[in-house]
Amino acid sequence: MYFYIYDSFLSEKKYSRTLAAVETRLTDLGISGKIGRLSPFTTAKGLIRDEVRRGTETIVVVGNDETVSRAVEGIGDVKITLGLIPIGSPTTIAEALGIPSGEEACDVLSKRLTQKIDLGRVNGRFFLSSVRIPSGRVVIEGDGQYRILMPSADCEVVVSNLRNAEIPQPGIKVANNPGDPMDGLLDAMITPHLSSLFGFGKRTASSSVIPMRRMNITSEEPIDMFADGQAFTNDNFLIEVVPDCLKVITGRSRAFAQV
Amino acid sequence: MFQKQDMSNREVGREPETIISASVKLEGDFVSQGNVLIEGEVEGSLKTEKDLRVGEQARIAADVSAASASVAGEVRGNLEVTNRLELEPTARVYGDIKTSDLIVASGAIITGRITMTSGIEDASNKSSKGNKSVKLSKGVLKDEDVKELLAEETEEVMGEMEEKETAKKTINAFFTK
Repeated sequence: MYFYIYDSFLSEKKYSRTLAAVETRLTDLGISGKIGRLSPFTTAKGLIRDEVRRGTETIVVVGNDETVSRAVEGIGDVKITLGLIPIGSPTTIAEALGIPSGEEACDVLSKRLTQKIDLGRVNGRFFLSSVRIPSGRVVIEGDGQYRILMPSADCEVVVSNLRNAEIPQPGIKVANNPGDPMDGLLDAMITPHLSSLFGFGKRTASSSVIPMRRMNITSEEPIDMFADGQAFTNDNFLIEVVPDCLKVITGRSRAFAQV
Repeated sequence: MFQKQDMSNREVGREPETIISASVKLEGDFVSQGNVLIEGEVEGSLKTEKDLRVGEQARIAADVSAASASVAGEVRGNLEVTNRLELEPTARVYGDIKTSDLIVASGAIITGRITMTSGIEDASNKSSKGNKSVKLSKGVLKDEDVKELLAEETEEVMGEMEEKETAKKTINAFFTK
């Protein structure tokens, strides 16, 4: 049994055609199901918990990265299968999972090719793709065994579970494909900002990439962090990987576990 | 910037999974299961099950253990490499080295004891030739040192050959009588 979560922005007129095509295709494939709509008064977490209690085994998120992020936060470690129908933008998570946009995603859904992937957790909140600290003076403690110090006053930290567009400097090639969601590791990419001559503008030094299972990021003052695009502020972030946490429907062109 | 990184990666053989860049310092015990590229500073201990590449600007104050390694920077601590260890002309190693295959470029500095591990196994199995251990009085391993070592080894082999020759002559003389 499938349960579809529609984001609130899909009620806009410009999406009505795409949505109608998606619904027709789902009916043709025989995988249509109940629909729940997000609104300022209806959270993804509430909808998902109610449906799981009713015996739903597959939740399909219809929307963009932010919709997926809210759904993943709601699913957490509940044992269900997640499917995506990307509509709108950005849809980098769906791209990494090899799912095309709109109507074509229905075919991927009907093939039901699943992978068990890791999730990340920051201060108890689940994330699928990455967390990003755009700037701040931080100390990172890795796996309780070592500390990473940066002499530069300011740096950007991206901790990724699933490779997506948030990873800076894609020119750097690393063998383990930072953001492989099946390796039981999170990849911390640290890019120090160097102050340029006369203090105008910012330059970036080359990035460090360090795979870890668990890390503690501390700062002397509260800093902003974006978990899958959603912002929150704190001075201490405990980030850890939750291995094999979520069963997700993927396409053949996914960015990991290629056969 | 990227060009330099790519070159280093190629020299490791495979692309690294962990990169400690020049602007970063790592303190503590670091254990990795993949390839590691160090361009910055490391203090404590460093262990990887795969390849290690220490860049020219890198400074390591730690005991290091790796499957194979290529060093162009400074290492203050003991180096234990299971397979091949390559010391480039800019390498500075202040500590003992234990490896089965060592390549030292002219200009590399070593202060410490070098133990060739594959020699130990052969020696215990076959003869009393023993563990090939070299202690360097001065830090710099230059062409003269290598020549000296080779000359010593040649003398040993020549001595053995002479011994065999004498024994042969004695046996021949006995049968002739």
